[in-house]
Amino acid sequence: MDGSNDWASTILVLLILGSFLLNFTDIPQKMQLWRYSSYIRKKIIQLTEIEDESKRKVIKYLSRLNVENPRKVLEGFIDNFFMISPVDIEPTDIIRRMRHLIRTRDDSIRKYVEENLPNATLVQRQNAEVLLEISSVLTLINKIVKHYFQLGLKYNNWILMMQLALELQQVVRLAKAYDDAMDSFMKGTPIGDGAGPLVAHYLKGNAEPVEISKETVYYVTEIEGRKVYVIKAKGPGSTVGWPGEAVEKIINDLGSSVSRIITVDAALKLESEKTGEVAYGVGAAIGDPGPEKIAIERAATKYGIPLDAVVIKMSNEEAINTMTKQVFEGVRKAIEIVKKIIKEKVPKDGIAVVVGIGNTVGIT
Amino acid sequence: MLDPMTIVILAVLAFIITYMAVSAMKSRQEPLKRKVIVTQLKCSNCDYRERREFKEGDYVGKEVGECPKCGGKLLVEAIYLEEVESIPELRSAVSIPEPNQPQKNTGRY
Repeated sequence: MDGSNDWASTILVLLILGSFLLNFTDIPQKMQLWRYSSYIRKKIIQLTEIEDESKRKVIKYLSRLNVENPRKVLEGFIDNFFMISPVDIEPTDIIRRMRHLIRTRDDSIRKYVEENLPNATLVQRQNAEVLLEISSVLTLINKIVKHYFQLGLKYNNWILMMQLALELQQVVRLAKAYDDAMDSFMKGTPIGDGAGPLVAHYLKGNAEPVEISKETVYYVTEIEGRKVYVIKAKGPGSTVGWPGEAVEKIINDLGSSVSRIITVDAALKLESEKTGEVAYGVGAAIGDPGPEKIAIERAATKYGIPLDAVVIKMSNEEAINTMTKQVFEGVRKAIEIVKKIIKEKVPKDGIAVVVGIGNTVGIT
Repeated sequence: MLDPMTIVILAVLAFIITYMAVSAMKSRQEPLKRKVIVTQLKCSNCDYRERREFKEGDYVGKEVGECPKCGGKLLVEAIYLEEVESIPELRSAVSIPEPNQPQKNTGRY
């Protein structure tokens, strides 16, 4: 037997042995568990850094507002103010119950911030509320990731570990976006989600605001010779207002003399779509948990008013960070589309209601 | 003449080095983009417009002074984030003053 035959036999033996180890033992799974867990550990370190950074930012912002013990204010907020969803097995009245819970939570947060920041302005308090919320969300994300990681290790569940590892890249990206968003709220710059309120701001012209619901205003203006009621959250602080309730009140006042309700909002784009693309359709363009959206739908249905939706597309990261130039260009396009709808679908003596949905931080 | 095991080891090494080189080149090719927040100002009376770097306290609709052209109200028209790839582009995106020079915010477009 020559040397090459010996070598071939060795390879063959190794292949059979390798095949046996891979197919009939848990070694590959253990190796995967080890590989994925080491990857997840690195990502958890990254998430913890992001969480700590967010806490530092909140403390810095609160210190700037002369809060005596900013760390205590932050610690008193994180982990608290959760909301338990209403019972959905009995859907009767669920919207009313949900609205009640959402508003109770909002009021509790507002009161907590007011008590701890008594000398801050309304805008500063509204921005502080959002910063505390973001920091709380980042803590929650980190906790959930750690929970699944420890569960995976505890039960040697390599499938859970693999799923977590595969999801983590997206989770870290989202966490980073939230962390970056804090800078926008600290500076008070408009964010991507403010595309709707920005459209409303341009449409209102020089009209004066009238408060109609909590942190929500409307303006009466004229566009293309038609009377237009423009609704948006009251800026420039960080708030989305109660646009559903505002529409409900205005429609109940004006009744069927309203020819069109047009909602304008930011929408999450698909990966293949470009930021700033604008599309229009039918329905209420609003991404709330339900109460505000249903209020618009019910008001429109009650009087048989057609409901148009105009959306400006952007990614999740762009929606919560400082508005990009592409989104701003989308806002310009959306204004033209809204004007076109008013011109073509609202009669000369008709009335239109335009609602700019979204967070109005940095926009009056 | 190289023995088969050496050839296998060399092939694996060549593959690893090529893979690492390609990965390094890919990460280098990503352009380093700088981001700048631009505040766009507009006169409420005439067509005068200018752009400058965002200052804390700016918000859309804020009155920031008088129009140098007609004396009308100068309002913040828009605030947005712009990506630029180089310093000259950054300087043209917003009228950032040269170091040790008085600030000049008259980048009309």
